[in-house]
Amino acid sequence: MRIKILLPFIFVLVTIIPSCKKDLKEKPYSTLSPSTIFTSETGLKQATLGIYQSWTATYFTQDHRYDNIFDIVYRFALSETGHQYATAGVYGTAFMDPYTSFAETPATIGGSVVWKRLFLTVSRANAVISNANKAVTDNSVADVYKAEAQFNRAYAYFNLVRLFGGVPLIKTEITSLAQSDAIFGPRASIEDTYKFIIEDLEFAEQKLPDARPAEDAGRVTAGAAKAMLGKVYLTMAGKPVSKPEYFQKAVDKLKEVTAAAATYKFSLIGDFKSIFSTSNEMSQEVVLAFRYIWSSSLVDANLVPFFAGLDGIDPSGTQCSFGMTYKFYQLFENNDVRKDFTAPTRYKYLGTGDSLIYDPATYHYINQRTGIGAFNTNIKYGVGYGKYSRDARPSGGLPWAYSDDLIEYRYSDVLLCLAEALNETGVSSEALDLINMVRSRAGASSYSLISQDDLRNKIRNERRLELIGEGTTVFDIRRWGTLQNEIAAMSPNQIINGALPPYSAKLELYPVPQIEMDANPNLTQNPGW
Amino acid sequence: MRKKLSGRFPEGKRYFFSFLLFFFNFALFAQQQITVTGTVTSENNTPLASVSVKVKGSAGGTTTNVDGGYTIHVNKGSTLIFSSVGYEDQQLKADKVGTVAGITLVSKNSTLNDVIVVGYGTQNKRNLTSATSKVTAKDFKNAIVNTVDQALQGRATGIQVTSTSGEPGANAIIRIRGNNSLSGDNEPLYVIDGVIMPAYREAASLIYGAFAQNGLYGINPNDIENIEVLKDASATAIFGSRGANGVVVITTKAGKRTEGTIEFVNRISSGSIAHPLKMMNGKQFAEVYNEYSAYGGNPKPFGNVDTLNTNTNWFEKTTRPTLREDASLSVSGGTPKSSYYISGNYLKDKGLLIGSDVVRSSIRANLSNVINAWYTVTAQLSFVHQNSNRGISSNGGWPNGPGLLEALRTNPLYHLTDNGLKVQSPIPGGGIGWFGNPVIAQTDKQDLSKNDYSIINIQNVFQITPALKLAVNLGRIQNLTRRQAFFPNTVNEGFYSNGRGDNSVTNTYNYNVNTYLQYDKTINTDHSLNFTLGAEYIKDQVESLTGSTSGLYLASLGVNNLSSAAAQQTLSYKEDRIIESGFFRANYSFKGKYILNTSVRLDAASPFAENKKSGYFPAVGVAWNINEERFMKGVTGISNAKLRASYGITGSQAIAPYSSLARYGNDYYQVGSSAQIVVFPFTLGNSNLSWEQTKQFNAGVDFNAWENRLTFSLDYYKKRTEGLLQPRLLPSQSGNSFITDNYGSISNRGVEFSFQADIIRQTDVRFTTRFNISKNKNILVDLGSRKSSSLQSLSGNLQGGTYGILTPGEEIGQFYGFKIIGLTQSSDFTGSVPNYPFPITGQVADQRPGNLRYQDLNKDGVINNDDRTVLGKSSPDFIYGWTNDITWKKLTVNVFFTGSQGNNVLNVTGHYLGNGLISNDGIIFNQTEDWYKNRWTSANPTTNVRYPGTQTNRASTDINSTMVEDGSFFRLKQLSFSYSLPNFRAIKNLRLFVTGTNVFTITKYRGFDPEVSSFGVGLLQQGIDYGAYPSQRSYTIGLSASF
Repeated sequence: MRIKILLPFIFVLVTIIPSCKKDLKEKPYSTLSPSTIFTSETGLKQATLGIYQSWTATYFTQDHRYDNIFDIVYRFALSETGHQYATAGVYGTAFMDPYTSFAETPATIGGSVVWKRLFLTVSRANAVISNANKAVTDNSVADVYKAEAQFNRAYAYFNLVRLFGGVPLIKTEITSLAQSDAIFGPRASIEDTYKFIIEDLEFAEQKLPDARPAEDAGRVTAGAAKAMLGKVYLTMAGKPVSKPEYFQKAVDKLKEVTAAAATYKFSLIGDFKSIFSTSNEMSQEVVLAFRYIWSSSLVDANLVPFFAGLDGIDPSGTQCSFGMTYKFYQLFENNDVRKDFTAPTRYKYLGTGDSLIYDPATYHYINQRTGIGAFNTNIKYGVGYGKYSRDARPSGGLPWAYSDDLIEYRYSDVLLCLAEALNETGVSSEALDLINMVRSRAGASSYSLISQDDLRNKIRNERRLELIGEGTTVFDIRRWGTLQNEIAAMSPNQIINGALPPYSAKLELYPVPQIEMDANPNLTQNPGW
Repeated sequence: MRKKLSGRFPEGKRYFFSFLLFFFNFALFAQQQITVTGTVTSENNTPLASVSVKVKGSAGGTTTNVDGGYTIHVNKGSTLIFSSVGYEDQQLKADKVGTVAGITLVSKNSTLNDVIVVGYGTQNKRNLTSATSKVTAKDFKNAIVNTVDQALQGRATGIQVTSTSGEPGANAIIRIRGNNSLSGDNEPLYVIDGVIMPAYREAASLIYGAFAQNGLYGINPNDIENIEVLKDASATAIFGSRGANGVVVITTKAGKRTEGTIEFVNRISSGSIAHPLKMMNGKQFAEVYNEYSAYGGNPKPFGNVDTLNTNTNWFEKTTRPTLREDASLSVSGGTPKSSYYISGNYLKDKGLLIGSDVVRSSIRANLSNVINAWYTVTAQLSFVHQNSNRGISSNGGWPNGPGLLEALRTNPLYHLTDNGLKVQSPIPGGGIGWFGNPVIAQTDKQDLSKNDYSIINIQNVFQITPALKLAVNLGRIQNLTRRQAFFPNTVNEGFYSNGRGDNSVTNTYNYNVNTYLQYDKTINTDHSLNFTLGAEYIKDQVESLTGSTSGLYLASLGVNNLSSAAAQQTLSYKEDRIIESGFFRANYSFKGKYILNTSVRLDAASPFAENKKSGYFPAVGVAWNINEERFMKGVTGISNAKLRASYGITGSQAIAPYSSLARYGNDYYQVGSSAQIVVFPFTLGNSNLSWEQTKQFNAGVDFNAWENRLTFSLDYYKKRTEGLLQPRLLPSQSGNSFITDNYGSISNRGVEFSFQADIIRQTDVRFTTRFNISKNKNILVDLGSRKSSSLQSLSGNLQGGTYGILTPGEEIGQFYGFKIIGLTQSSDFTGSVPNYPFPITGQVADQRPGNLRYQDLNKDGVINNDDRTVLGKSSPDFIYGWTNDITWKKLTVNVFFTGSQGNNVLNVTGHYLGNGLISNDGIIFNQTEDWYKNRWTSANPTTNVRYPGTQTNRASTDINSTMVEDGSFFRLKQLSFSYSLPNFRAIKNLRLFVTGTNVFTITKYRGFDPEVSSFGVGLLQQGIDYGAYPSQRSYTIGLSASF
């Protein structure tokens, strides 16, 4: 009848139906996708720098939501607590427990957040490795970015293998749930994991530039790759891989670094304290550091790497969750500049101007004016950790908007690694020179020629004096196979609640996190857990 | 609109022959032809479509269009007969040219012939095969209804409405027949005047996120004509992938095609908290503090407690009587060709907590015009502006609990003026430190939500042939929202950053086009057919911009000048969601006895994976009107007896756009001396991502008897939802911890019963009672690959522990924790060593008489996580509503009860206020006077677990049985008296009314109000009271008049 008025209906149908397919295809406005990123070197560089970002605690928000920060706090806890010189914190207790007393289980949160964060690094690195050749056609350009990604991937796996043993090896980017072989892949052996690490680092040392210009400070170099490879070899020479022939490989590789230190812009800088200053970041001392933004313009900014600064020692008044025993403080010679800097037993509390002095009898800092124990007096604590920066923040800035870089590997560590490898291969005199370089920089006395065994002990001791709190202590103990002695030397006064367990071989590795076992039925648990 | 033709029934035939005779008679005379136009409405003034308009004694005639309009050419002086199924015929003498006054058809049987607004058209209730509930404006005329959800509460079966908070403007949780989704959306679909409302989005503050609101936001309840709740698949499958949670269909008022009416309603209410909690006063606090110190082996800090004269009642200082003013004015009317309804509303609601209020103003214009005999256009325009000041900004983030909880537990020995960093502790020997004053926290901060919500809806109806109709609807809904939050350094939220402020904007734009053809035909009077075929296109777009700052130097300018802030951050996003659909529905009725309804919808939605975007949602329903059967002819009294059954599939697609795509995020990283942009992958793609699918079976019976003086409906349903959209745990080696995926299933089954009886139906006295009760059981069928139970925990300050558990095969919403079996007594100790098992999280030194005694469930001698068990559930066994309307001459009394039975509430508020934990990590908490009077002491060695002794340390971080309380309640929700005054000059229908709201509540719950959900709408966080804003007992006086 009135067919013409069907026209609007037909018009609507005609406009809707053909547009269907096209309209429904989603194009996110506010997030990027691989196809938009890997189209230029700029995108490739942004994705490469994104890998570094995975090593840092992203944000500490103003209403104190700080989920991300635990990843970093627990990486610290897993690599720095559970030995004769570590105690629970000075202010709070929650973060370092239960690792200080070996009370962890597969369900303990620390293991799972660290596992997760390290695989996040692997995933970001794989995205770069798999897409670099799409972004730039010149292979030699792509290789430099791939090398940077592979260095990061290797360092993530180096941490994983030392914490948990062999882990699943993810070699290419996972973009879809369909890639179930990789997503639900089983663990590789410890040896295969090391093999994968070495392959990545060998590629990195060949393709990375020797040094970076100032504007790229913080990105890895060939020198860092060689130094890392040397440390990997040294680790493999010890437990659990236990291949002594790797001492020589470590010597050879680390000597490539020390012999060309100028090329790689590495040196022991004169002032030990200034290494950790926010005004002297990425100095020649630093082989590898993950960087924190120093900016007043962030509302929710990244934080001091962990709650490690001693409360009230700097204007930001951070909380100290890591403490050392008084015995450790006493290990230092009195002239050693590292002594009061690393373990400040007395300091002025900036908030009130009061002097706080550590009392080893009560295990507390005592406020000199009031005579009352500072912080929670119900719990026995250690000496606070003092390496992190005490530089004043810019005025008006937010306490959490300024932060130290997280130093992972220093040149003094390289020298001590080389010294250790040399001593083990019987070249003690060269080793002695290296340890004395580190000692004299700190103002400590030099050692004279001693037996190989004595020197081994001195080097091991020196690593602890020089590097405590820098993420290497637990790994050293494990590769040396000295955990049993450490536990024997511990006292219940340095832990909170409960008792110290006897040594057990299972403690040489952390358990695979239960949440990962639940999510991936192909994973197996470490023996004893 | 569905169309009915006359001649379907035997009497129609008779008329037909009569018409023929008349036609032949009159044809012999040459009469003067005139044109008559007009409109036909029902008793309640809704236009009636498809009414047959015939000339008495003639075969010619027409039918009314969708707006009840008609035009007919007749001989002058002839008689028009208006007839429609279910209505009494009306006659009109056509003796003058032009328009005639509106015709009102009176229904033969008002309930049976209700027109039910279903998706894309209407249906006569007689022909329904589905389960629906209806609430009309009349039902809540005397009630105090601020929002549409309040109009629904307790007034319809199968729909549960739970207030999350008593704060003005707070959201309510609306659930139709239980929850279908674990972590997706359980919100019903809202359809207003034929337009599907977009999900409500409000601008969020970086500090505290967005406040939840449902899709009914921005509808002035005074504008509502009626609400249909569509519950089963037979009714909701036409909404396809969005129908699974049920559909609430709202029709707003339209003008009558008669002379104009002005209506005015004004209400003023005031209320206060129904069951205030009394806290300890200063002296009592000091006494308990002394006790606490003595337990710690320290000297008592307060010497003579009786000399203390500081006693600040923080709760009293932060609360006030509520005041609510509500005024509405509407103008409506029309001509035979057009109608209008224009209304304005102003609402000002000052809440209980200082600093919380809502001011809303709204305007609506519903305009309709018959353009010609075949085309009618209707425009519905609505604009709402709302400013809400939030009283409780925080939902319990560190360091403080919600404002109300702080007001209750703040130490009464602080002075009203104390605030800030260097406040001397009122406890002798205590130091100088930060004290956050709860009154200042309420007065100094600003947390304003501003919304401008507009709906523009154009409906075009083309009557192509009497049987064929085309509808084209165009809708645009726009919600412009702002959040302006400012916290100076005098309040907790701003203290650490020297003030902070957020100014954010989130705009939602929705475009909605639907068009459908509807064909109605009756063949041989026995076969009634109805087909609907249509298509729909919906696009939702969200754009958001947030400026977040801190370190404010020009604090006096607040959010109006954020550029003075030291630190500034901007966030923005934009997203689209598009749904394209086709739908078809066919109804067949044989002799009005046997009814078959089928429908199918094809939906294609953008948020799903590339090859999973489209799917079909079919449904079928059957009904048998037993009363139409020959064997029932002899049965008198029964006017309706109907059996119904239906089955169908619907979906839910509540996931964020782009969820199926692999996406990259961005951040900063410092390289060299500057921060650089970095990018990284952050989600995996999921090429299988699709909607949740709900299969529902429904069977029901409707029964009316004795001229509808007694009606009842009974429904049984069974639903199963599969492919739940929820995060799936991934091994971290994938680079992700979770991915949104479809797995697991939930079932709901239940029974609904509603009953209405006109007990007295006389001219002067009327008494109607209506009762409805609904029972729903919500079972987690399976968790897919997650075979075992899943523990639920909340972030924030809820003890930081686990509170709930999900176990396949069991009900959803179970509270999980430790059982407390008593208080420890001196006899439980050997010296200071306890001889009972205690939680490993506590320390030996903290154990002493008066502590909570935990049950060692597995009898292994230690209290640890293995000793936890299910302590209760948040879902009720049944909910009910009972309304009584009593009219005696000019006085009407309305009594409305509502209640819930068998549910528990997790009373975290009560736990904090009565656990004896007076000091924790240096934070001092006040406790209730009730606890003080009954607490365990050596002189009062009570065994009542409600009254532990003074604690020095938190006993456990997990939920225990003392916190799980019976949340059942029976409430006199409203008691209303209204009196109609005689007409006075132009003033008609002058009515005065007085209403009490929440008059009394019978409950065992010890908190403010058992109807509570502090953590909003999430299925797994129901029934938790954590500093909830209590509802009030309020009284209202009002006046309405029309002119």
